[in-house]
Amino acid sequence: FLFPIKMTSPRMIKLTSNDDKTFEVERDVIKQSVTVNTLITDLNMDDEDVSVENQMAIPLPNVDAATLEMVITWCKQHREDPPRNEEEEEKKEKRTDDIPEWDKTFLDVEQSVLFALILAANYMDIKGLLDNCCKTVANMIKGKTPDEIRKHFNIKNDFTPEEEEQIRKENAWCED
Amino acid sequence: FLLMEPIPHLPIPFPLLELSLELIDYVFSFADNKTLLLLRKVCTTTKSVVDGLASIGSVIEEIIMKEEENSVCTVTLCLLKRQSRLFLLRLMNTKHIYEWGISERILFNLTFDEIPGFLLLLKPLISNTQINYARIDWSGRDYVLTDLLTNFYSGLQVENLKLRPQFAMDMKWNRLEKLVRTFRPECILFFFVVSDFNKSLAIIGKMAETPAVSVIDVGRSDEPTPGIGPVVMEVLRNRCWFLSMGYGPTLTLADVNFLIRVSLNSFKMSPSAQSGKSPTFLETLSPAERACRLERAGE
Repeated sequence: FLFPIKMTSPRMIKLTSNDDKTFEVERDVIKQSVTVNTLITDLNMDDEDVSVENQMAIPLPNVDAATLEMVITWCKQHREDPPRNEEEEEKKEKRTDDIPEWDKTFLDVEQSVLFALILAANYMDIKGLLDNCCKTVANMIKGKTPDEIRKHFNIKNDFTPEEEEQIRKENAWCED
Repeated sequence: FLLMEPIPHLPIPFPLLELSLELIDYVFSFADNKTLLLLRKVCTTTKSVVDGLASIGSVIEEIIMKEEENSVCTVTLCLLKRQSRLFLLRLMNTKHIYEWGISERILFNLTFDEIPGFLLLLKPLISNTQINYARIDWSGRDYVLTDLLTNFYSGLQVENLKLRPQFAMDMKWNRLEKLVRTFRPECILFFFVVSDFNKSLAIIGKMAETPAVSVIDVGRSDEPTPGIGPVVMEVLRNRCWFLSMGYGPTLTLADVNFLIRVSLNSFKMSPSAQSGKSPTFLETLSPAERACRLERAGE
């Protein structure tokens, strides 16, 4: 016997970047963004009667197309990840050596791109992406002296020598 | 030929300072196990970072400036971990942290590695008040712990007590106990906003065994104090009051007010305290408050 198989295409959601590029992304993929997920729910966009053509695109005014594309790629890669338990995450020791290999490669980008990704992940409330981006930046800070940190982040030293000396004196216990 | 020369790779620096303060803070939270030290290092890199992070505490500054012209909010806020800082900021929004400061109340937020930062945070709240203070020399250098403790326990003769840096960084309950024995506060108000509940318990227990100390543990509403169990309660011998009233969004102005009064005034005034016994928690309440608390407990 042959049974007819009903092929249901995955539900798609439209997202528009701040430079007016529209992306269609699977509902299951973008659910990792709390911001988008909440919007979808609040706007009853899960209603199956609305086709993707007639669907309103969700505007993301803080995210440009290039970054949004990366965010979607990341979400696709992590679509099978178990849902985060924020309470558990909060209790966990914060570490930076647990970035998955795929993410390490994915985040090995220009600093400006990483910066944009952090902002986007924060805006779209994608905790996993935000964490891995921040860990990547944290790894840049780790083990560096103040001078090295300054150089790395292009931070101008605006202390006068006296002020700096004063701070060093106050915080000498940190460097013991 | 020159055009063929490889161009040296000049990485564009990561614009860390352009991130919002919350995000900088979040990045830092991953940066090192010793976040405190690290943040301090970063803070020493530039005033703008310091000022930026301190601006999170503008609420404090505002509050202080209204009432204490000479008070200055310094950079110390950035030394705390996010959770503690946000918690404290909530309190500050209620204005009572300031009142704690000038009224010599003690608020310990005890994870051991947070203590220095926490003390530093409180320093600007009290250092420019009219309370005199002596200094404790911490590892040969002046350190704010001096000011803080002396302020909190004013009237005590504290001069040049030598404490190693490890005092704060690796503080164990016995050292804390020693501190209590030294300064003999009447009451210590604990806020355990950290997850290490067992460690907190150990501290409560030991602190409560020290003479003349009564402990109020303001528990989290989602980590109710019943977890402490009857055995520990027995150890505490009625020295410890557990209030499971939550914190953060659930901690209301009235709650803070209430805590301050309970911790300092009611304890002194209650019949049990005068008879040498710690009062029961309910004893410290006015009839109206008692009814209200019981009603809440019933809920």
